[in-house]
Amino acid sequence: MEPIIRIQNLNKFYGTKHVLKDISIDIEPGQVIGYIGPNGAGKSTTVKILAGLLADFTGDVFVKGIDIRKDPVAVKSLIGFVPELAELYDVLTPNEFLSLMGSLYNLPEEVVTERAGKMLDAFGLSGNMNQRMDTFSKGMKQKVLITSGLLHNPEIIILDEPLSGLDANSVIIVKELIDKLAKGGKTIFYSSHMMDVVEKVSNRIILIDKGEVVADGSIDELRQLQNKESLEDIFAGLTSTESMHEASEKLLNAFD
Amino acid sequence: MNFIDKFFLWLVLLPASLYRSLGVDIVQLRAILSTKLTMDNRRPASFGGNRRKKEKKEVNGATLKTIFSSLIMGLLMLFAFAVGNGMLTKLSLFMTMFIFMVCLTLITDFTSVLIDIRDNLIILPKPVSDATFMTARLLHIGIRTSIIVLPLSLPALVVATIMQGPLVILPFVLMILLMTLLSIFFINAVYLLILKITTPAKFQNIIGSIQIGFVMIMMLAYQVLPRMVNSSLMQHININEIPFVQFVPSFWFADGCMALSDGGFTLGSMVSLALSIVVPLLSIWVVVRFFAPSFNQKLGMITGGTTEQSTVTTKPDADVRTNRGGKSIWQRLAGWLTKPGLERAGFLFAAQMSTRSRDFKLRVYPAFGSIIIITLIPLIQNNVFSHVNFANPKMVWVFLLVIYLCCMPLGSALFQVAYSDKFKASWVFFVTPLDKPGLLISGTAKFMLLFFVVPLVTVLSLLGTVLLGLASLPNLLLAFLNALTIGSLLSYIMIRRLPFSIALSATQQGNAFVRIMLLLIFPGTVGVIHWLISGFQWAIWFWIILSTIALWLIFDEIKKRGWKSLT
Repeated sequence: MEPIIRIQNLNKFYGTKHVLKDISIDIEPGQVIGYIGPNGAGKSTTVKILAGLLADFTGDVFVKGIDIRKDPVAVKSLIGFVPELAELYDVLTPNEFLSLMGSLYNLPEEVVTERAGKMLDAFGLSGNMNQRMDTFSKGMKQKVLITSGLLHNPEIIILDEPLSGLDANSVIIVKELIDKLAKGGKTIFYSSHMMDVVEKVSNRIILIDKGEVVADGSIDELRQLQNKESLEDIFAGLTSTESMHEASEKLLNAFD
Repeated sequence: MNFIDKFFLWLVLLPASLYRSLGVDIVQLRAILSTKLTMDNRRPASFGGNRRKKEKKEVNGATLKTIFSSLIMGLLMLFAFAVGNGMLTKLSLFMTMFIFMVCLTLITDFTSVLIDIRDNLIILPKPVSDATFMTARLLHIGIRTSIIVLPLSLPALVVATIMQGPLVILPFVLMILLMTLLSIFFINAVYLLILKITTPAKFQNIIGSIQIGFVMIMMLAYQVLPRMVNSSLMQHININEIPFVQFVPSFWFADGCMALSDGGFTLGSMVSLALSIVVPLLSIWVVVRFFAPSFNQKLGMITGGTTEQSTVTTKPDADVRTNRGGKSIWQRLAGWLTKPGLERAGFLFAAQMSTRSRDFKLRVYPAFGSIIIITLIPLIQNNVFSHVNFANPKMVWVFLLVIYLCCMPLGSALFQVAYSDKFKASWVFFVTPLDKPGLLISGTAKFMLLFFVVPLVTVLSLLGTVLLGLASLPNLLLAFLNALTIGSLLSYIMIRRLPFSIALSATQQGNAFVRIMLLLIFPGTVGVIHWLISGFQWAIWFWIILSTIALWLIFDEIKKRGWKSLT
């Protein structure tokens, strides 16, 4: 099968800082990619490149065979993006914000109204649709953001830490939603710190550290490779130079 | 920390043994106070002007800026001493302005001082005694107030001393102190009132609107006060001739101050003096006894309880609430004026953001108001309006002139529309398949014209037609269309970024000169040509057609804009 996302020799510099080093990943349709790595590993940069927010990289990124630099607009219409930090025009109401997003995705007004209503209702926000978001909690904003990313029924969904601020019930909803979307043939690129969730929702885990892919496979493959049970331990084994015990020991020693 | 903060810190910590006897931990007190003063120094100054530097540059020296702008206001208030008949009138006028200014300044300033929810998270979990905490808070409020009140009253004190002799100094200082207490009472009362009639979540918004109004009043005062000095009415005003003046607090203070300084006690001045002392003390007692307890209780809700509150209420916000047919006024207008899709989205986005975003309003509304005033003042001063004789057909020129002048404030609004403190939220334009940003911009431009030009110009044109008769209609119609065409051309030139998508920064001032020249030259040139051909009826009608076509063509060009043409 032809990969739906093909990343080849992707390099990205911030000034002289080499953030992404020769990353190559092929993603098949229907896969749920768990994209993990420590702080500053280059996760967000990869996500930004895939979402079309950064264009000054070297290497190639193809989405459904389209070069993201040649036709970013075509690629963007295939992708639904849920960003990490809930930066929103929060003087708008969810209804107004989603109708703006719908227009940006070239959806007819009636479709937006109907879908937005249904999706917000599912998240329990039907009573807040006409309230300004400046009074919303982080979780409520996140729900609006998730809705905005799925509004145009995209083939590829990029989620950057989508569960931040959500309450336990909403986390369950979103996890199941990811599962169902994947079963329905959607490709999901899930970037996160939360190991337990990544372990559960994704069928392929890509671990990056210092701009390089250090592990790539299903959770079972990674377990065998590292001979460790939980993703947390695998993560620690692959990304840290000194043991965590040493670090905690050092912290305690500060009192001496 | 700067020397002023250091001085105040030293000053308030002088009675250390007194504090100690009250159970205050001096080390903690000093630590809390110096941290608070450092934070104040890094917050945008209270006179609203420095907000734009927030994103890029670290705010520093905010305290000095506050002092400086208070001093400027203090100098401006010397206006009171230049008008009026007699010292009592001058003082009453000054004291009215003083109370007004202190209230307005502190009301916006105190939100951050009083309502610092971080106190609950940072100080309260630490082993800090109540006495220490309360003393720190009181001293902080005292220092904040002094920083505004001292420079505000200093110029007046100097002038009053020059006019009345040194005997006025002590009574004056006493009255300033008492007035400040009264102002604190007013502010507390307003806070409580706002909290009573609205949710804590909206509190900050209301304070924000007060701030916008405050900046507008400042602009207005700055323009109007110096010019009023020369008016004969102001020169001969006498406070004693105003009925019921005895009921105005600032009159008590002025009367009391005069009585104390020249010893001219009469029954009236005794009553004034008594009132000026008793009322502030009584009101501050009310604040401490009754306001403070319920106040502190509600303060916690302002920032703490917002999220829980909003999940409970399901009532839509007032201006979002839809009327007949389930559409808001802007949606209706958008339906008439824009094509569905991106253009309509741009129109609605601009409408929603610019009518609600506090930060946009704060940047545009005061400037908008002041430009209108600046343009009108020369007309008033030169007595243009007193010569108005509606029988004279040439009078159409007054209307045409004002209509053309209306293009100027639009320019400043257009320039600001790309900036927002929520610029980070503009990712929505970059992750979506937006291939024609021009449509979004044309929607925005249509809104800006509709909101900032059309109402004013329509009223002027209608008024002109009614007052001057149908004969002036072609000229007014042409001016109306030209205003729109100029506005659209300005939109084409000035909106070079997506709306509300870039950070506010100092660099935005860069092209101010070019901008002002454009704003002067366009409407000016068009106006002059209009004047030259106004005698030829056929030329006017011809131009009306041309102008309509130009309007249409310009918007067509705006719509065609691609990503490359955005800087």
